[in-house]
Amino acid sequence: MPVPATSRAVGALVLVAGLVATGSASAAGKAAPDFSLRDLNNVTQTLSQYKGKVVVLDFWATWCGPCKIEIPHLQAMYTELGAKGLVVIGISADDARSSSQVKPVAMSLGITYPVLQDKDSAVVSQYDPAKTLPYTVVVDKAGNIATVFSGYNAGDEVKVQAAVTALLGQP
Amino acid sequence: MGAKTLRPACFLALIGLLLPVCARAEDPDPLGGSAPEAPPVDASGPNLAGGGTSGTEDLRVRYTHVAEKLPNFEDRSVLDYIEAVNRLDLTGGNAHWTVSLSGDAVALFANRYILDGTLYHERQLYTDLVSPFPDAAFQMEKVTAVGRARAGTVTLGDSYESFGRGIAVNINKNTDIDVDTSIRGVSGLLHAGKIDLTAFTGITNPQQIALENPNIGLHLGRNHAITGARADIFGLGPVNLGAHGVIYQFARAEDPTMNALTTYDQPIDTAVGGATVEALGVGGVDYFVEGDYFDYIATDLAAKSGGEVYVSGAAYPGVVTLLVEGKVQKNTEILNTFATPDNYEFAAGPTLEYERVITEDSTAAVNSNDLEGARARADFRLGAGADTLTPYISEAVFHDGETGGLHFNATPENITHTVAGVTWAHGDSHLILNGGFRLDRREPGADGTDYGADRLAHLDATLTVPIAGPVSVEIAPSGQAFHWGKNAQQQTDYLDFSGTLAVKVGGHWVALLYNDYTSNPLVTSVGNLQFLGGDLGNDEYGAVEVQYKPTDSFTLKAFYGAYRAGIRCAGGQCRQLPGFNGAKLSATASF
Repeated sequence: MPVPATSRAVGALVLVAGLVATGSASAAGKAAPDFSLRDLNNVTQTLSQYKGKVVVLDFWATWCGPCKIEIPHLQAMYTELGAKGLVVIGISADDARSSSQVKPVAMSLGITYPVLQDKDSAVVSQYDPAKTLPYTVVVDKAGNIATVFSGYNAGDEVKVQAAVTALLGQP
Repeated sequence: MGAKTLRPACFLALIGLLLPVCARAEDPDPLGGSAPEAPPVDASGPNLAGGGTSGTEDLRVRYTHVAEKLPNFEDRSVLDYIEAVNRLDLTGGNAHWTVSLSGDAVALFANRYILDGTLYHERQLYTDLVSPFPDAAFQMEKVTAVGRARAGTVTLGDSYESFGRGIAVNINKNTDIDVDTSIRGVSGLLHAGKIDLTAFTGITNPQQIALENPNIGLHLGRNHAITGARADIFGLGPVNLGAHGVIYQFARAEDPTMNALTTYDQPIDTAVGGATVEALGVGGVDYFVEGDYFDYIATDLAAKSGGEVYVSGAAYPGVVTLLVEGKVQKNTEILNTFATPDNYEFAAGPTLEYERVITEDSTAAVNSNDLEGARARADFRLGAGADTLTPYISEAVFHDGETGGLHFNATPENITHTVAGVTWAHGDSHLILNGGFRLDRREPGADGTDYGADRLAHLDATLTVPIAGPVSVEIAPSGQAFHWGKNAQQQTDYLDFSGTLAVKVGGHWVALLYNDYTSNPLVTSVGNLQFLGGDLGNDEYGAVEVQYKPTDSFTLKAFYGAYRAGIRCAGGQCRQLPGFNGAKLSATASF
């Protein structure tokens, strides 16, 4: 099956570029983009207002099953470490049509930390363009991304808490 | 060490994609060493954390096996082909601006069969995309610059826009079903005390290259112009008020050469005006009401006007969460007439449906131009901390007055849909279980004809159980049985089943087995388990996948097998996705 040489070359370049790019990946150390979103009481919150604290950003949605499994773990961590300076922020990636469900689902999950609404995907697009949910980002006191967790597997909460605990111990 | 994180952007710059980004990229320690200090933040002004470029990289290579054979070449699989898709997303910025780029590259291999100089078969990658290569293409899908100040934000380039509950406009990305349409133009948000003012104008920019779907015969999407404005007033006691207006100028199918500027030259085709009232915690209840009026000015639309009213109320007595939603819509789906060919919608309000079981028949509840209905849901939160038990029950009732076409009914129908389920978590064991029954009962004809009822029973579950040490097992079965009533396009009852068995080892390895079965005659893809024999084998699909995640930001996947075509829904949008038979390799990373 002959294929034009130019196409073979371009196709191969696409492949190689992708492989090289993925092979050198690390999200740690990048500045966490600031954002301004309204919470469920319509109060505007920004990431930068929590500068100096360790922040866990949890991107989730009401229709996301693994999100609902992860959230009780995040809530438990927030309950345990909130007094030590941990901030957990839930960012709902639900679009406008399921917006009325966000607070009821948050309440049914027992969430007590702030939940913000990113109805237009503006923030999730910056952190996670693929919009994989859940997507958990740990931000250090300086405002840099310490680590990210894409999706949720049992035991991930242990890794998140380990990362958070280590950051809380830092000046 | 710094060169490693610089390399992705720079390497792609070699093929002329992202040179400006390469020049800006910074270089922290990718192995978790000392990170650069964030610049001082001015608490009195814009305070985006410092610069640097981050992004994600998604490379997919698919070998697609085609069961059909080319006439006279039945002894070889000459229709098989290979497709490589590479998506790179980059985000960088400084204290005032964030710039995001998203670029796709796609290439086909083995897409022609030439024997002795004669071309017997070919697959064209694209029809009217601009590319110097016959079997490869690049698209800068999204370019966005967001500027922030205390007074608000301005967005140049691609943005997503919605007002209220999405009835007047709801342009959003839905990557789960490979739909990503943005509005390319200008958008602004101004904070003025208790008032927020939002305005945007731009042309629709559908994603051109698909990550998951086959990239065959790619063509440029039509550029519809959308302009909107909204004002929100917050803090009037417990009440918040909003009002908005949106105008649409559609690009017609018969004028595919229309571009952004010529679209703006067109007369206004549709104008939508609406208002919202929100009251939080009034008597322990959160209320939301939205009403929108559609003025269809263009003469080639199927109605002159339309409208929708949506209401919701939520209360939280003790361990119970109650949510009641209702809506009345008339001729609102007509708005999407010119977006449907490109598989997205300009706007759609809350569906009130359980999206995991949206079927061909769900048009009655989801896309009707003459619908009224309501849904009530109660969740009961039991347990505490990470040990939770949350059963729920939901009941939806609709009256669909639209008949014919995809509604498959000669008379209006009344729909009831009961769904119940539970979410349970204890330690690392989890269960999500949902089941329900929907009844679409048609009204008798004028002559007394009984048109019967459509019935759908469904059940889905996800169970995760730790086995030993770092090993856990996840089982996710899902099934539905559908029975058609009498309709003009009489169809066959069918049974769908899909199951997934996943074995997870720590956070690094996952092995998955997939099985699909369907007796739905509308599903045209052929199963790959014919060795099971008979018709059953043709309807059975099997696949295996291995995932390896060496770090939290890097995932490799290898897939072999087949899955069926069907409607797939996520985030309130649905799309008919094709079946697949073959092998896939993918590498996804964030950096």
